[in-house]
Amino acid sequence: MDAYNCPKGHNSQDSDYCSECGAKIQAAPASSAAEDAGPFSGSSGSSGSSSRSAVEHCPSCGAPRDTPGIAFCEICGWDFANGPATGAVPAAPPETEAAPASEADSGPDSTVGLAPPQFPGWSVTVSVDALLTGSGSPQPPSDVVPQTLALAKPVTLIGRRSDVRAIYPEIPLQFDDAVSHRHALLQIDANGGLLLRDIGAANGTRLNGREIEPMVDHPVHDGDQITLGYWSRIAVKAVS
Amino acid sequence: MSDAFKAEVFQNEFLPAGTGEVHAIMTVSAGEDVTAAPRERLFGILCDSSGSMDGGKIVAAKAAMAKLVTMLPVDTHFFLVTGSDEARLVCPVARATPENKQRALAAIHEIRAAGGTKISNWLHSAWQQFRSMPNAVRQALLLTDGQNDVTDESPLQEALHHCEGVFQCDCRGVGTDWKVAQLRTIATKLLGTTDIIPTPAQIEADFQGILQKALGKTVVDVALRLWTPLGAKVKFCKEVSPEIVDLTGRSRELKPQLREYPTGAWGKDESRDFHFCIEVPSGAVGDEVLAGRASLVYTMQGVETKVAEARILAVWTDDDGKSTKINRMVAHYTGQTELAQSIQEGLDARARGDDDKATALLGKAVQIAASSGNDATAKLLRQVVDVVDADKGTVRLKQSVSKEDSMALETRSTKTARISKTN
Repeated sequence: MDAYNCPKGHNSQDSDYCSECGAKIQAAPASSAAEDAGPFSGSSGSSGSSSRSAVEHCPSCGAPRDTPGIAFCEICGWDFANGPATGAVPAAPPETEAAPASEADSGPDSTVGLAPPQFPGWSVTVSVDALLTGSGSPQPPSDVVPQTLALAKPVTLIGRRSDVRAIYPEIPLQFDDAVSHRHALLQIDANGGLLLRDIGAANGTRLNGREIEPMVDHPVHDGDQITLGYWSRIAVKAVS
Repeated sequence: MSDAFKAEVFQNEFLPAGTGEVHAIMTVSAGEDVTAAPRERLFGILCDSSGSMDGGKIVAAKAAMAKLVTMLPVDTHFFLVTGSDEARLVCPVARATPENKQRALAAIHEIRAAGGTKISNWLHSAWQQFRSMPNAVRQALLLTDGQNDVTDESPLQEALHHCEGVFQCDCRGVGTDWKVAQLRTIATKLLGTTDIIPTPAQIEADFQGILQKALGKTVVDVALRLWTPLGAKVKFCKEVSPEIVDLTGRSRELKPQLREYPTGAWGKDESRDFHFCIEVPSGAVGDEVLAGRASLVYTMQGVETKVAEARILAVWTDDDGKSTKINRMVAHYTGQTELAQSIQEGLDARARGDDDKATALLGKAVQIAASSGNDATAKLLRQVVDVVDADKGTVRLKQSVSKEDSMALETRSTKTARISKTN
């Protein structure tokens, strides 16, 4: 995420040296604890506590709050107005309320608080795999660059972004129309293990090529492959 | 998996103000556990069966192929192509089961030498076979004894373009009637090695070596990615160990500032060194910038995994003591590159009859080989020149040099020596 400020004013994706010009980044990343503790006033400009920039950053994921007054973080769904109350994961869809909602209520959120603990244990690589294209599928896009994301939060939503329904998945698969807006969850359990749950997605989810039962947690291991939609592939990797 | 590859950078990051040329050597080693999963392997042999191979060469080549087929482990796949003006698929892709091996041995027995040499057709036939197993370790071996047909020049370029990335190919020339430059073009493009097999009797041992190496490969389709800052220019990127291969023109731009160079398949415990030269916009004294971020990425079933990363820095200083120091690794490989160049130009000059120039260049080569500890090259040089004083580079050209020795020196001149990694 564009969370590091280069001395020459670029938004850097790397924490050590600017990903644009290579200049050494001296300051701490914008999502540091100091800023987390700051007040979350409604309008962005007024907080202005940061001397480096007037842009407010999401306390959860560190992404800049580009549009002033926007209610939720565009990246992780953080509720700027109410802080941690709504939690890291947007509320579950009506038809699947029971399970994920209970997870969100009872689970990590209350303990997560303002500074979510980092889980550097898992990362996923999202790609389009043309080999998955079925007979009825449209042509896969060729311009999607595989992307590796660290699972930074205890609950990660896989789905398709919808501004209308205010769904902002951590793993957005915009390029695949056969992915449900709320498709599946990846959750890190108390022991650091990873669980995959299909949350009633219309077209189902496959783990290592096998369709998984919806609304049931399936353990996921290093090297496992999740496939969904027309041609989306998510490779899971344990990071030590 | 994350510790499978290790990358280290050796450089002098200090630059005097007003300059921006950064040199760095990156050494990459694949560790013990690069084995991601049991890999499928497809091994293809492309054997010259043109008329010139008739006699001892084709007999030896057939025996070597038969030996190779017999040695293939049962979990590998293989195919055989013989080539003259056309390619003949002697044995299509098959698992190395005892029955399939028997069938292949019978087919090898039937091979007859006749016709010309059009390598583009052989490559095309191999391409079709390799396409059937895109996720396997894909290694070919091309054996020829002659020069490619003059009319095949542009079809060959096209075929190489086609095959690039589909399989890797080691090239071997048997005898002395082939052209080093021609085979090296093929091998370089297909990320393989080139070597001479002076006499047919040596074919078998060489084939076995290539097979052993191919069986050791565990990670395929590894690419070297180089990020550079805005306004920077990559002056060159070369593999410098175990062999000098200029990769500069081989890059593919993924997006602005990020380019990718192919490095092919890696085996466990394999180690290679790369030399980068990057020109960055010059900075003020005290500035520190990242001049390059080099990473190794491999792709398996469409999923990319980054396995190692290293940083190349530039720090501007007004302390001449710091900025004028040349890093030992950089100096060593700059020397090895010069050594290869001196040999190639020296042999050229000798062939043209320019003995003075040849003596000077080969003398310089002897001097560098001796001082850098490249014993293998030094030994090959002694077949071509009489060394009077290795330290001063004083040599005399030998009056009669066998063509094998001269070709062996030419093909192996790009092999480099390493130095210990103390900095």
